[in-house]
Amino acid sequence: MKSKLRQELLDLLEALCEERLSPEQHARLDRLVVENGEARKLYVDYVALHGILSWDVAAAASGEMSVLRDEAVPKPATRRIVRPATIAASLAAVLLIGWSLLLLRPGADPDAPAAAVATNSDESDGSDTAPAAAAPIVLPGRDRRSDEPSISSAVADSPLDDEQIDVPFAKDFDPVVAIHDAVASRWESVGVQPAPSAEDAEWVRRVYLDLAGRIPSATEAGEFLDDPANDKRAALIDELLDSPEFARNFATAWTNLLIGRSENRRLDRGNLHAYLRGQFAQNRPWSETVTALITAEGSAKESGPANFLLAHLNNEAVPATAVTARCFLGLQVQCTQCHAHPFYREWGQEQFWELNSFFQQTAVERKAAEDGSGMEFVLTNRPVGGPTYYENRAGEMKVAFPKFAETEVDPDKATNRRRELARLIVAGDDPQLARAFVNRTWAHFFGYGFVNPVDDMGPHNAASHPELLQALANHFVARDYDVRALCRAICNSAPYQLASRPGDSETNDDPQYGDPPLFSRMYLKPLSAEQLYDSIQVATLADEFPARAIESSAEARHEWIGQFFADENTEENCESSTFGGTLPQALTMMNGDLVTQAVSGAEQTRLSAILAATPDESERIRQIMLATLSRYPTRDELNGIREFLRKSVRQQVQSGRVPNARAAVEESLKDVYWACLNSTEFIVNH
Amino acid sequence: MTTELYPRDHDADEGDSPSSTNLLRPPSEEFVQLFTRNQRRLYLLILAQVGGTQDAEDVLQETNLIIWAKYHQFDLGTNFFAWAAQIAKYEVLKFRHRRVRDKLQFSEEFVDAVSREVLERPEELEQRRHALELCLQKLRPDDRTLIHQRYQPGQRGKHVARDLGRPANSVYQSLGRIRRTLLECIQRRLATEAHA
Repeated sequence: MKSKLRQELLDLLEALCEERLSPEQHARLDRLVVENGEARKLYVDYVALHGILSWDVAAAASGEMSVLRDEAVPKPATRRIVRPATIAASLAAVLLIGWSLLLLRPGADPDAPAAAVATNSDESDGSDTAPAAAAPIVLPGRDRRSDEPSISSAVADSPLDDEQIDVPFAKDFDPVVAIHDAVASRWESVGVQPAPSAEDAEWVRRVYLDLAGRIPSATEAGEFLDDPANDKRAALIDELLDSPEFARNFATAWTNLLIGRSENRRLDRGNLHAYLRGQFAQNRPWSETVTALITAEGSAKESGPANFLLAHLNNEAVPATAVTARCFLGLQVQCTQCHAHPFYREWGQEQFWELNSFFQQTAVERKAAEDGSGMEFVLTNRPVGGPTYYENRAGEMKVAFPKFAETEVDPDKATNRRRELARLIVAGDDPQLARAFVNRTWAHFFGYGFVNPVDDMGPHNAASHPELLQALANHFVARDYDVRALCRAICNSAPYQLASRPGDSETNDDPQYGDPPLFSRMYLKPLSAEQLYDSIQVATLADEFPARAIESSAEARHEWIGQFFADENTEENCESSTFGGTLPQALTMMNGDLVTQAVSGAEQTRLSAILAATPDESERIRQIMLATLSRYPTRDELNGIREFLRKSVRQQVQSGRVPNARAAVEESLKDVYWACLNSTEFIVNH
Repeated sequence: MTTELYPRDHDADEGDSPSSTNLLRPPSEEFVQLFTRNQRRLYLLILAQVGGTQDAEDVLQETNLIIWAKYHQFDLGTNFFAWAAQIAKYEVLKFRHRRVRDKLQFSEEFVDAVSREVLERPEELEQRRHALELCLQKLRPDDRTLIHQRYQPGQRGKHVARDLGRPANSVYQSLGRIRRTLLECIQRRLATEAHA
């Protein structure tokens, strides 16, 4: 379910809980729940939350403990994954219990014995790996932090005025230093101990996923781990930023943001992707890309950027208005189509339609395709002038002229309104465009932005580090919207070097519970559908450097992803997803063709290469772990897996399912491979 | 299907006091336990269909009366919740008839769709409740206090606002934010467990 529908539904549900629904809202809620399965599910989940709270708190208050507390509270049942005829699933538990614990209990005691299984790298067999290259994080002893007011409690409760934050800006501004100073002084003022530096193995997997959109191959990971150089992290960041895979990865992320993932026959998705990819590959300024997207004309095939607006011009360009504000400006203004923004007074219905008015000249024309392949859709500008008409809440007809950021544009038909809009959006030294991009890009790397959700940056939603956000945005503009420089600074910054396992600290840093993020550790990020697909490819293929193989599977990837995403066919251009920790995703991982192929042991697969390379059991296990999890096993893991192999081989030989012991070993190693691919560690970026 | 359907003529003996019909056989220990243990689930099933907590409590009370009046019709060993849910279904229906003029009534399709959705996910509730317990502990103390105040018996957001001397809208906003946080936290935990 896309954010707008979800947002509307949540607003309705909140009003329901406080008994504030109007009859119209009540009817709207009714209709959404009847017509939309996702909405129904959210309704039931939300009401269950409300109901449990009402029931339990009320019962506790009135002393009726018996009704509640007599009930046995079973521990949540962990669903067992059972692969027929194997016990590989239990192996997955042996292997990766540490990661599941971490996911369940973000503040888990790192000394807990179970958690230590996967972490204690001192016991790793890969003891020859170089020590972590990053210097330990040192808190700067600077004076200013002592009188800096703590703003960690600034949350949505008390909307801040949109006061300008005064940020001194110097030419010799170094973003890496600025990031370090800002986050470290916050750690100190809040009293949080940052996590230790990430091990090289954890870090190399992270940086590949974030920049190249996939895990490193066993060869790539091994080379990095064995490299003794001190500056190898910075060198790898530069190498990946310059690779075609970086451009492809960012182009994919932005294509998904701009037009969604579900199929739309009007569009040429590949063409938009190719355009964005070119922009990222040549490191063109972000302002230029946005200008092209807003001002494009032509057919889906002729013009890559035209696909953006071709996707959103339905329903009087209401989606175009909302998506433009959300993607480029980080502002959620959908609700102001019909009424004033609930917390954000600057945005009323008038502002929504003034922005909408910029799209008034834009139309989609149908024409026969030149190659005779049916109709094609062309984005055009019609020379019309005058205002946009809309109806306000009182049912009166109102007019809106094109106006953005207090600047009115000549409503004459000779004005190219979209060109004017693009000009206004990128104008000035401190455009919201830059703040929105910095915030979203930061969240790409850390899982959370300074402002969350990343596309809801109104004054009701305070930033965790407002000065830093402002300084990075200023720097981004001063450097002419240099995307790659921004990514480079973030990847080289202190918080990006930290482990995902929290440090030994009383204070938790848990933005998932609504606290402002402190970036005192790397937050876990689930892999996106594209990252997961490409990473399974990398873990499957014997190719030493898999970029090209991944490239050629783009179409298969799109098809695979299509099974998780569906267009909801609503007037708001929403799409729903069954990806992200759901049963369909889990089943696809367990039984899908992709994973079946990966563990088949067929020729040209990484597994067959490992089997051919060495008969040594420990070495095979080490290579399997490296190919799937980009790290070597700990001693405990190695012992556990070897014990599993012995049992499994004996069982298989006794059952007569395999011709000989060698085949039994290979079958059992396939189970190990399968277990690694199905581990929580594999589907999470940490 | 061994579940005994709720008989359609139940109105006839609804007014009977438990003593007149149930002297035959006192409710067994097991029945009492089943009854107690299913109260919350029943309440949530009804709440999803009627939307308001006060209404849900009323309907639950009426449902409980019928359950006690009918306990001898329940076969131990069959699905208690399914049996009780049938009773609740008719009580919701009766409640809706009484409120037929109320503008804030959900449609029949709504009630059907929602009750199906709840009944399709029977085992989830305890996990959800357990997750909520953990998620509540993760809230900031202020937020936890606010939720606690809001959910005192008979309280509503507006009362809390009055007691705290805060504008009602700001309290509504806070409560909405906290509930969202809790909802997302629960979803995340359930998703993690499904994967672990």
